[in-house]
Amino acid sequence: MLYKSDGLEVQANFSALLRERGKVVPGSLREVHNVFTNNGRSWLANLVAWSSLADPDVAKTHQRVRWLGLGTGVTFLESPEVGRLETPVKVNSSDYLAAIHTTSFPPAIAPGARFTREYGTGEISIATNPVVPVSEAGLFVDTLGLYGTADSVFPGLDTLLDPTSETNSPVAYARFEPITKTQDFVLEVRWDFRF
Amino acid sequence: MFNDQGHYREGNFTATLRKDGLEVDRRHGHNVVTDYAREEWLPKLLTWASLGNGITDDVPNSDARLRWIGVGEGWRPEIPAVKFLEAPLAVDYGPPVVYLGEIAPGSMTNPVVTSIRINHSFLGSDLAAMGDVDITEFGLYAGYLDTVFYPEWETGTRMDPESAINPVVAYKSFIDPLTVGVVNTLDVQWEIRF
Repeated sequence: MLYKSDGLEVQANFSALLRERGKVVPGSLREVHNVFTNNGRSWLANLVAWSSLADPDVAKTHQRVRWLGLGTGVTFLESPEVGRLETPVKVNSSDYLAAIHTTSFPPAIAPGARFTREYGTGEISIATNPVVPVSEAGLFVDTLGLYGTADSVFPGLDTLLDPTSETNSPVAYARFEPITKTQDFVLEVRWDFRF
Repeated sequence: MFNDQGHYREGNFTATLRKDGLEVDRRHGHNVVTDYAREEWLPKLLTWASLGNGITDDVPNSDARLRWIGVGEGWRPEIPAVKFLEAPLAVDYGPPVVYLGEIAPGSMTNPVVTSIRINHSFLGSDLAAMGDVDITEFGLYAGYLDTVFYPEWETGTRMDPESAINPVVAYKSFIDPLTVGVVNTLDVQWEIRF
């Protein structure tokens, strides 16, 4: 049996709500536990280690929590094996991933970190898809610039992930009762990691 | 973790004392990941302080990764509140005197994709340069060496190998000491699972 403090387990919690002109839309709050995926555990195991030591040291990966993705899938289970969103939806006309707006370390969730993203009225519910029953979410790690030259997969974009791809693999995944995003609402998403 | 024969063993820390390559003593068991690791190290390591926009780059909150192992002859209970070794020993009497053993290149591996394993060998000629030492505690440390790129905002999180007092991210102790002389080597294998 492993001791509780023997390793590092990340517990993730997800919440989302709609606002209309700043006021919370009644019944729109979703608060769920979610799953830290095997992809996420693998990422952490590499993030904490150096590939080689010198001056400068060389990291195994520079990826850190950077993107949020939403979807309308309803059949994926919250399983560590989840490797992508079931039915991703576009944030805008081209991208499925949206950059995190803020990262904070509130005492209320210490030890941990909180990632937030506010989707504007014209995001997710875009002109070609104005009513979106959001029911799944993923958190993604990536790096832009800094060490991008060596890491870069997409020249010009300089990140490892392609935000325009539907098949990026999340480090955390949440499923919840659908919350209908329209162009009348702002959608606030909050994701907490606790260690 | 799995031993050399592929058999699963409980625990994630092993220290093996050798003489002429042969095992003469061993300690094996669990360890504790400290509050320092959970509260300060990991939240900062896995987050960006700011995101780049194509003109500016992403900037991490911290780039401190597992880099050193330290030894001591004190003992503290294996509880998350442990922050420092009780009685750190020098791993190199120099000059300068150094208290943290730098993990050798290529010694950090992934036995499975969701864990990281660190191997490190201490030479008895270093540890016992001033006489035999009784090792009863180990610490794992995170930091970096980059004298070119790192900005001032991370001042204070970089470990000082020449200081006996550095915060540990994981700690291991035992009552029965491993006595290291100049003829010995001390092999440490440490695995952190996620």
